[in-house]
Amino acid sequence: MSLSRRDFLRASALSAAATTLGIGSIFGNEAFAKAKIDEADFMQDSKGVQWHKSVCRFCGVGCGVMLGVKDGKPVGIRGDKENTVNSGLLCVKAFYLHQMITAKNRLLYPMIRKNGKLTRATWEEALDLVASKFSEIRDKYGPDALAFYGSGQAETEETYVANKLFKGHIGTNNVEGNPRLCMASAVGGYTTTFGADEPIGTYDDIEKCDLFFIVGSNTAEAHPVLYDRIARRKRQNPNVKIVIVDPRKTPTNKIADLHLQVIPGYDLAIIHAIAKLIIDNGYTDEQFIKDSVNFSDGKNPITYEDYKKFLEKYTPEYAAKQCGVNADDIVKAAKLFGETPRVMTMWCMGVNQRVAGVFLNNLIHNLHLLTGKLGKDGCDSFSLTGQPNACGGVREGGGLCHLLPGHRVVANEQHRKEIAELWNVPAEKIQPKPGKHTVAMFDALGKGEIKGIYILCTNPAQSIPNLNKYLKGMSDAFMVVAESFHPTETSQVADVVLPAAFWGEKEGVYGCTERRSQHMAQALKPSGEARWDGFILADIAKRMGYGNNFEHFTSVEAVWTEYIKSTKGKDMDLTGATFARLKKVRGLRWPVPSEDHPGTTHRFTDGDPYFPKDKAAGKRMYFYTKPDGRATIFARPDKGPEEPTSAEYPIALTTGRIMEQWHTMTMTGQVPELVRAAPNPYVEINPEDAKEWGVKTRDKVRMVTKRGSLIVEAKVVDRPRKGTIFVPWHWPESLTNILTIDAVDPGSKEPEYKVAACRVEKA
Amino acid sequence: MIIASMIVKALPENIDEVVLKLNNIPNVTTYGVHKEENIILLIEADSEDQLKDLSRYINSEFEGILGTYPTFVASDEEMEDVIKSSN
Repeated sequence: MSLSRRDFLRASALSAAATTLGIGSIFGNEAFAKAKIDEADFMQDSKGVQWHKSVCRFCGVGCGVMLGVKDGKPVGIRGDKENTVNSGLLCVKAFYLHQMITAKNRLLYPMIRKNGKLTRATWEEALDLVASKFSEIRDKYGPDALAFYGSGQAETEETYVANKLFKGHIGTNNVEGNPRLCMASAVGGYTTTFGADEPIGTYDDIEKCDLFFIVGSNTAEAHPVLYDRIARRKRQNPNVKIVIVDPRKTPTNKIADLHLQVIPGYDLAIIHAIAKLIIDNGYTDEQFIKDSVNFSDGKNPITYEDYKKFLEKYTPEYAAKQCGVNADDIVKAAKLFGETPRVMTMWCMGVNQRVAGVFLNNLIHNLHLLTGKLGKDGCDSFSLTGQPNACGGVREGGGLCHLLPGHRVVANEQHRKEIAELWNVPAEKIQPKPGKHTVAMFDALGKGEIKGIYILCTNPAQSIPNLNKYLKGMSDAFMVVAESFHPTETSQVADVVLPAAFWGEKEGVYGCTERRSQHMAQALKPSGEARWDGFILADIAKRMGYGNNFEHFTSVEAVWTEYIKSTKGKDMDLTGATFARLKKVRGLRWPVPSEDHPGTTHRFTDGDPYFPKDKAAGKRMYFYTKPDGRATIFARPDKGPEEPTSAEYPIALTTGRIMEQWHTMTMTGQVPELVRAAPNPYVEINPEDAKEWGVKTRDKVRMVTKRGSLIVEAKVVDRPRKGTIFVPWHWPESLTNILTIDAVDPGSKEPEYKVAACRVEKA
Repeated sequence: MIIASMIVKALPENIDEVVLKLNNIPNVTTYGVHKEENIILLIEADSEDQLKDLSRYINSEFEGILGTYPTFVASDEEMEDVIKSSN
């Protein structure tokens, strides 16, 4: 007798959980007896289900996911037990994967705005309109009147095609992506300190680490699978310690040994103080410093002694006063960092989304360079990534206004020549000057300097800071949005909306936090009339007269194969990660210069295929992306936030994510406890502040900054420190980014989402 | 109807109490404690939102929870029905 679909799914669900835990079959196991599912029926119904290997499309962890398909229809999603990143576990966002494939707001056909309304159109009409309008703007106003705004959720191949079209053929460097808003400061930190972007170590270090130093990251909610690996490491090794530096108490605190609850925007002094204590207490690795480190004040080289002098003022007491923490806790943190042999620092948006984001990244690297806790098991200065392909597609693929594929920059003549040759265009076609960074790009839209923009797989009408300033520009310009869903805040003000194939309906490569590139299989046909983004862009290229250099892109593999040529011989060499190989394995970590190379666990040291043993001459690490092989310790000022609190705006507003970070949260739960646990848009307020303001949980409060105001429910909770409020930014009906400031880090151009001055009133 | 399985990780000293509480949640069935700290849950919910809310509820309201980790999710609604209803 065949099972009902529901019984089949119940059995599949229990089997997936049992497999993940390694407890074998659910059949005959007493714990599963109450499921009352017949094994023979289940096995019979399982026939014909094909499980396709893929990667989660949410955060940057890169968890392996299997998509089950039977008769051309999705039957389920489960964690990939064979993928070492997550070993079958997923986080709550996995529930979105299912929701998104079958979402009722999938965009199924192209739309064109006619008489002010988006109406159904054919592909021919839509693509002709985009190509003719873009050509007209290019011819009339020049290439820099056009722009592309992409995404860390787009595949590497999609970003590559867009980059080739806009930088190499239209001739504008106005090519950006939303990783500018989340990872640009990490890029700036890695490139200035080490000479090349992305971490030295990998996730393998987690299981060997004895101290996790977590700065500005709510790992438990933002990267739950990594959090589980950290928590498991601590449970199995009680001597493992966890230190957190964050303005908020978060669920990550459940495993913390020490929490430095800093004033938002003032944590640089803490890191300097720890550096000073490391030196004063003899925790440094002097041989490593002698062999592999330079010092700089940011403009000129300085000596080790100059650096020590620079640190003199950063006593624990000075830092404690600056940051609002206990000086003894800074001493404890420094002692732990100095005395623990294997240390990993992990950080995320709390460090990057700051006007001092690059500086703070540099200071974190300083601690690892002073102690030599880099390039060996259990040690790294390891940036966590927010999106699934920010590293692979945008950072490695060169999808920002100053970059070219393969860790190249537009300002470098040789780099332009190499990429122009690959793209079969004259070198002078690629401009040497970086284009407009994200905030400047949307500013230029408002000013009419950019007249046409192509937006792929992202929603800037909700995510740009200081939104009120930029929304009109998005409405006024000729805006094309390629999306899988409609409406979004952005698609509903677009002139053309193009239906893009979604995850599972297309194949491609994602590159995650630990330099791992992974192939995602196509398991389903695109819904409705949706098409792969790369084909849409190539089609527009042909219609704009650039067909010769795009017509060979007849498959995703063809794009990947061209892209990896750009990485040959580079620090991020992917030439051994052919499409055929990636289809078989659970990802490869670059550099992987040949098809028989296993990938690289630690860079710049023995085991890295580009580690130059001759130049290193016995040194443990040689940073071959720096001219002399030495990384740089920077004496950076302890710069505070752009907008400090004041008498008029006395509260620090900080924004962030909660576990459900990718969609709206319409609360339809029927269980009262669940409704209570998942409220509407809210602001977290410290109990002491709430008492002073006469505010209780669920009261409406108005938050006011210099840029706008917003009314949401109060949630009085001992999470933010006194004088600070925390607002998640997910709800489209309550646009948090009306409040945030659009000041950017001068180096990375990343906005300071994490600190703004505000006042709070009972509404 | 959405059907999902989830592993709830809890501190061994709290695990019996957590299992009792989980069994009191409508549409949730537990399937034993495995390897000291892992409880397997089967959830049948009307929407993905309920799944998310449940996860948040367990994480925030239960003592001794280390995390909630989905391992499977599916709907008994057919894809073609979804596409039809979107048109």
